Amino acid sequence: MCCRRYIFLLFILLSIIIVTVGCWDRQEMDTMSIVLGVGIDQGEEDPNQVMVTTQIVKPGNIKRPTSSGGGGQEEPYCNFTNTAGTVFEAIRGFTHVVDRKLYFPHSELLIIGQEAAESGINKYLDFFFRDPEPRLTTWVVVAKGKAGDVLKTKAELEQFPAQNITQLIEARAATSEVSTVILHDIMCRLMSKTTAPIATLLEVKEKGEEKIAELVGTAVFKRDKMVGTLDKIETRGLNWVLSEVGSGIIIVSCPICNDENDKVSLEIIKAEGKIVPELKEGILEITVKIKEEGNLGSQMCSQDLTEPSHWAALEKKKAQKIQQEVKAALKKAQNLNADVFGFGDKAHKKYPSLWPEWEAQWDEIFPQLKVNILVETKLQKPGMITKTASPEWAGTDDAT
Amino acid sequence: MMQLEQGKLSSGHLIFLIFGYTLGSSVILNPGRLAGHDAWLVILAGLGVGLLYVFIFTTLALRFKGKNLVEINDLIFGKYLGKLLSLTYLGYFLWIAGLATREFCDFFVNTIYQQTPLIVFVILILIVCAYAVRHGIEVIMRCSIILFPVVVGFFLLGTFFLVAQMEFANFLPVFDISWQRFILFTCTTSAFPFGETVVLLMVLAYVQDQQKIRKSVILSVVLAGLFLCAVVIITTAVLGITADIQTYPSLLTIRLINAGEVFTRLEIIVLGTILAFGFLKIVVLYYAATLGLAQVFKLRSYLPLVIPVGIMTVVIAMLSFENMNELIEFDINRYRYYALPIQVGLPLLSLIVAAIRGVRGKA
Repeated sequence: MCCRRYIFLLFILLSIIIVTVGCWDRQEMDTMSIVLGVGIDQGEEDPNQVMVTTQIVKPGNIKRPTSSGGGGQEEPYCNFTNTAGTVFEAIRGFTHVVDRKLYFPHSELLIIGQEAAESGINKYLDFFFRDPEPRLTTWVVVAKGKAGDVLKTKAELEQFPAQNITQLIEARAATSEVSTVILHDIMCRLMSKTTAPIATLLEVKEKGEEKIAELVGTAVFKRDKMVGTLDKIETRGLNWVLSEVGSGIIIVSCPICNDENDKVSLEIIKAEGKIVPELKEGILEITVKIKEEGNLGSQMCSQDLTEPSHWAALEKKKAQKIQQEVKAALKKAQNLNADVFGFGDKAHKKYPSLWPEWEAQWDEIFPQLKVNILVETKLQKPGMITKTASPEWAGTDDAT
Repeated sequence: MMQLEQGKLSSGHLIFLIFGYTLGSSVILNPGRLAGHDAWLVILAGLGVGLLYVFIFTTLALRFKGKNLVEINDLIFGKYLGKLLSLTYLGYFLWIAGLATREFCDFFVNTIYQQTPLIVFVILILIVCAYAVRHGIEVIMRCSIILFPVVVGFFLLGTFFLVAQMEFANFLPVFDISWQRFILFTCTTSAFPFGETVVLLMVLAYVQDQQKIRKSVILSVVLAGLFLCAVVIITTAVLGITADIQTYPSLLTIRLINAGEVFTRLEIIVLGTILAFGFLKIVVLYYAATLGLAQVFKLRSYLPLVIPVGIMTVVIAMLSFENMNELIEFDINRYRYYALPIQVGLPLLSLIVAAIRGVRGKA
């Protein structure tokens, strides 16, 4: 009898599995189309409209590593474009041309066209903040020109252009010459009273017949409107301050021959930036402290750079170079009157009582703000050789 | 009077039950959210004030050892006035059971199951709760013991993955709100979630070791308060200023986890378990309302009331608010005015009247 009771219970449990597997919100693989990237532009005829381009996976055409040939095959993705009054309307409108509902959680890239960015991004981004499907870890990129064109570029190694750009962004630490932001970063900066939002800047370059996407720096916003750009050097200057530098190469001239053409490349291993607001005679000043450590990467001349005094000279030159980069970024930011560094927020945190007064006139304070840059650099390792491969160093050794 | 509940609790196990009950739905809603990055201060202050409320109702429970709320009211206020007072309490319990159910279900409908009607979740959850209520307080307490390590474990896991993204400068400048607002928000957090522990007056009577109840209630409320404070601190540290406008800040915090591109999209696991505490909250309130009604109407068993009370909870959950916006606005801005008189006012009144009339429980 007991056994029958258990069989009955087992039957109930099994039927629960069949009956209760979602009802209204089920999503079958063959009824959804996975979105890899989204591009947002102003409408072509009416700039108040939104043109949304989405890149969607075509699962049947994904190349498998084992399949031979591969050439001449159809692309594993397709792009769709739709124009409507709002982003959400345009996205829903895709159901007129695509038979499957767009599925956003796997979208890793959001591209905004330059014109759309200049007209203000908040009206486009609100959908991505509010809807539960898109994730706030999506990368945000501003494209020079049309965002839709970026999704049409050729991806050399990856199968999907959107994925290609995502990989480019994720590889930024090798140079630290581009800014990388996710939707959540933009959201924080949009909500800040003084800090200016930034985004990765991307350009579509023609290479022969093919179009290639290249990251070229930073797009700078004031409130939610794009006002200017930082080039690669200025972007690294910004990244030093924001403590975003992962690695990269600093080129200095050789301290011994002092010839511009005898370049020494120094690799950045780690870097740390710190913003310290100070009050000097009632006036706000900012001190930026940067600590950097690196290795000797390569040299062009055959001088002995490992000699301690030269080694120290190299460190000094490196510090100067970093200072120049930060100054370049600062100059550009002050010209644009966009506090990309977040100096205002730091000042707010340190001097909460003085802040209300500064906040009201931050647009006048920031362009005149005095910023002291203190750079401390270290050069750690010479690499696998000490001196360069040249006859003058034959038979010598540091130990002797 | 006949004992409707034969179960016995130990004061040690009680801690798990109260911990889960107190956290309930507050983990997802962050009751101190209006204070921005000072939310953690408001929650700590709310905990402090809430402990005062706990002290008041445990004094009442200790004065009448082994008696639950309905019996205490009968002893202090007599047969008719006592019943009226009991019904006031029970109506409040039923009402917050409905609110907790609504918060719990709105969370699912707003984040994951957008197309699913709200009533499906409300009914499904209350079926589970009804099952637990039928089996009595011992079973409910055992649920809390099983859920506790799972929830705390997943919480610690989530915290571990988030350490790299925490920015403690987000808390500066500390105390960036005016005193008036601070006191107002402290009232809010003391009422929700800490003041809601007044429902324990229905449960404490079944604890074996009556001498230790105050100690375990205070200990568990403090633990729950610190846990809630930790959740809010992590949320603010990770999200910064955007926590102010998020509907569910703690959900978003977990969504941002990205440990080496491997551990991502963990929110359902972590919050799904934290929401298990939401179940505990509904079930304790549901149980208190059912048992209390059976006592007021002198039934021999509370089992016939389980389904009717469940249906009433469904109705309250579905009808008390038009939309979610109203619910959140109510929780944060107006709930305190309705709740505090019952959470503090009535127990205090009972204590004063008991002292004047010299009524004591037979210890």
